[in-house]
Amino acid sequence: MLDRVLATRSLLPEHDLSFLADAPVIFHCHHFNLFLDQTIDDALGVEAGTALRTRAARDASYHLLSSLNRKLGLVTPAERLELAAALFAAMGHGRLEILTQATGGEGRGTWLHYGFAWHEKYGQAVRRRFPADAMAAGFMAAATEVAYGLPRESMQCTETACIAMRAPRCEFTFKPGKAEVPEIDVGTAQARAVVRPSFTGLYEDKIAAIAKGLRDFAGGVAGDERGLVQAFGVFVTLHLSTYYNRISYDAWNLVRERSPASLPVIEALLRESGHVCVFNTFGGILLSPEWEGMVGKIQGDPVEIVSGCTAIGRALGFGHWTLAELKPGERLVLRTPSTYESSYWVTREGPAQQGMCFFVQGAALAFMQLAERVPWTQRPKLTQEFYVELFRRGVPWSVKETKCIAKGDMACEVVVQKT
Amino acid sequence: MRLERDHGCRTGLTWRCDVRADPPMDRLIDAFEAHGFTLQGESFGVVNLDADGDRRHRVILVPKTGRLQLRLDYTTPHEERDAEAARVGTLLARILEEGDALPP
Repeated sequence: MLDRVLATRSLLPEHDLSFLADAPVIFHCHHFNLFLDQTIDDALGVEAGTALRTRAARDASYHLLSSLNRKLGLVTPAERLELAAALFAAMGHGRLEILTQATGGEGRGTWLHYGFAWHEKYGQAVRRRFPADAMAAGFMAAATEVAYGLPRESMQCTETACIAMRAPRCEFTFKPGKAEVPEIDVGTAQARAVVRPSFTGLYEDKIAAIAKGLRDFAGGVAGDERGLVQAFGVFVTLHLSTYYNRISYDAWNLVRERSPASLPVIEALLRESGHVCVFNTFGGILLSPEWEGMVGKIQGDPVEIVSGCTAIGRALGFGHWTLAELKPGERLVLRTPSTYESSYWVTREGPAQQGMCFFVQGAALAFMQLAERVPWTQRPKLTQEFYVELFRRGVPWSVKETKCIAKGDMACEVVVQKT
Repeated sequence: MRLERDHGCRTGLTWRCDVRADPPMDRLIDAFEAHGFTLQGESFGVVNLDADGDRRHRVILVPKTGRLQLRLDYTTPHEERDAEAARVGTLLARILEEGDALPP
């Protein structure tokens, strides 16, 4: 069955956007996942944050599961629920038991990515007071809606026990509720309509070759027997970009409406999610034995680091990132005809008044930090302490998104400048 | 042979050591298999071997450069990781010696 699921994967090759069935998917690590969820809870409060994250997971998962069931011709609730649980594990999110009927029911989770990774990263030092697995909750709610043909966005779900709170396993309850008005799906056709004609940049041959090798490698990555993926020194998920986008932009919209003075704060945090991702995942890939085997030992040259990071961004499905300009120690211009953020924003929110690709902004700045301030040949450790030293004690770079597809430009362009 | 912490930021899960570049791979893999490891595959310039048993520790070897990474199973409790790495490190030293892969 999973072979048939994987056969539904597709790529907009000139734009480096990936899809599973019709749903846009990207790879992200647990550091990014936990940081972004925390950002939403910090912005909205835990209760509203959890509710938004659960809705976003249900929204994105419904799109994935309904399009997948259509493609595979699955009919009975049992086979649809079975597929959902197997897919969740294959994507690196952990193991689920979905014990629901059309009238609601229960669910259980073991080794859930969010709960387990939170416990692994923070559990020794911090006691968590609320559950961590909105992604699993929303996913199982959507699986139940799809399995029983229920109205979309109608199944309510609460996580009642969580491994991040030191429970032995995660537990969930479900009950039907009033259906919300569904949003437009951001699928392959919508992404095609938003992306701009593709182009290339500096070091294109090298970047394209590395991106292809990494994409081939990532194509073989799947959850282990516990439904988790441990790679590059992090836990990796194949995730739904609609989840990330909806929680980010709904939170941004809410802050703009309720507390506009705080808008720069949430924008800075969404940008920081790009720092977190690049430092941990991109850095982990560059220092990994897999990179050493495939590309070679890292020498620490800034061009090597920035072009390598650009290739990694493409391979993870973030868009067709290109280098328009690179002056080591001074300036980077990253330009792309596609980002997963702009596809979502244009489809669901319409024209923007400003650059909206906060993740790309943060990632580009982090490229320069990695290129200029990490002693690559001295076997650096990518620890939290090193992250804090690099990104929270005076970053010597400014970043600005000078063009954005969401504003109607022909590309998204991010300029990183030495301050 | 000296096992030290690798770049992995999750404390005590990722370790590394250096082995001979371009070691005699058939002999080395035989040595791993003789000590309870199973070859998982060779692709993208790396060799993957998993330890048998309840804890699936993984060894990743880059023959071209002589880098070996040990990834402890993430179910290993935090407080046991250093000791577990030391135990597996002792085993790795024997395997590398038998596989004629110790660095010069």
